[in-house]
Amino acid sequence: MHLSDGVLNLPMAVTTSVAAGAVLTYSIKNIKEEEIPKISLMTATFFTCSLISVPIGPSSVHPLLGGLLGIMLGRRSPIAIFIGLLLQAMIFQHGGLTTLGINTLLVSIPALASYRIFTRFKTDNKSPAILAGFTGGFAVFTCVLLLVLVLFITDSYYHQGFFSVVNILAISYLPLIFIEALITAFTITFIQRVRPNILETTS
Amino acid sequence: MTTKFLNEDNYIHATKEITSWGAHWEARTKVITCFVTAFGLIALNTSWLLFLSFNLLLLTVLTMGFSFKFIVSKLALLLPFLTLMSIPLVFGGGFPPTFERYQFALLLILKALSVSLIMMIMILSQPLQQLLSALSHMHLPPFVVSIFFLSYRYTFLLWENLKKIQRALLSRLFRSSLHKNSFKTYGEVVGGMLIKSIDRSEKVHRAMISRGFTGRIPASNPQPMTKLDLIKASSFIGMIIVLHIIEKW
Repeated sequence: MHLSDGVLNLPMAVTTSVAAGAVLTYSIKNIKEEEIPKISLMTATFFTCSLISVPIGPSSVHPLLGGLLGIMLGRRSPIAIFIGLLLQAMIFQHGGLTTLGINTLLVSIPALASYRIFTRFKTDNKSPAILAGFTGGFAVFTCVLLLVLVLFITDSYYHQGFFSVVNILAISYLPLIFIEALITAFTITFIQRVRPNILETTS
Repeated sequence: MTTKFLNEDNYIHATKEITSWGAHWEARTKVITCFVTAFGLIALNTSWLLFLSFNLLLLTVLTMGFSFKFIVSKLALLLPFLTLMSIPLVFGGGFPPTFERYQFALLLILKALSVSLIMMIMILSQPLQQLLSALSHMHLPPFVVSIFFLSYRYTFLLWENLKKIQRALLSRLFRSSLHKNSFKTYGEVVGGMLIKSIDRSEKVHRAMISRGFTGRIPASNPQPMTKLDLIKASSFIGMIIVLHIIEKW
């Protein structure tokens, strides 16, 4: 999910950049040198996996993997998201310079919330599939909700009328909620089956 | 997507040959200038001024040695997004669309295209390693720079892995669809790659420690900042200030 330059006005672009800086500072705090290779490889893996295209009718979508990232990296997930966005800018010139902050926040906040939900409700004697699926779908839902909120605050042109940008974005992201829920559920189930200790030691 | 990703990689390496004034511009000054210019541009709200700045930037990028075809191919990547935003912006309020809605959509398109050209100057006008090296000398947290270096390196290796997995799946007659089994396969591919990455990260850490890694990736000394670099930076920022003065006038 990346908003392009020009969508946000200057006050919103500056505010979201500062807020993203604060989230990144929280994420970097107390980072240990031995965590660097793990975070780097996970960032690269998530970036690569998000390039898998899932066909929907004549078009296709790419998973965001925000929920899964939150579960796997916990409070370190905003670093991975920020660097993932920088990689996207460098390799594909996607996203934007002035929207780097908001794009980081749009995925980081749901990822951090997903981590809290997963660690709070995960139990040892139950399969994590349903909880992981919920977390994956929740992350996309929250991301869209934040995006709609930002566009609402930015300008009334984005939400006026039935065929407004906000309505079209919300509808177009609906299938992704279910796709992410399924992919997250199957991924976490697989990890739980093959290497359960990874889920116990994540961040 | 596969072909596109690989083509983009070729584009990145192709730019290493550029020896224009853009490539010689010290990367730290360039990065800061590009950010300031981008924020300055999105604060403009006059369509003809934005059109003027887009043309000036286009001219700048052309003089930096980028081919017109390459620039168009990069700007074309924005088209799906701009279309998705512009159509509801113009027609969302009902028929007939008002002049203000056309103008708002036009401003958005011009801002997006102009900043895209700025990104091209910032990212592609010098070899990527030079930019990464400059980032490591910009007082950013060393951990973040190290993660960025390593992630960039491993993205291409992991992409090769993913392509191998895709070929293996295709040879087993896997067809990407919205069926539950298809998602199970996706989930297991992602899960497998995550597990492999965690295992690999432990080996990478041991290898890095044995080479004296302390959290900071060593980078070559930064290119010295010259008067010419500052003149280039002042020209960009000066242009934005002049455009703002004209707008306020």
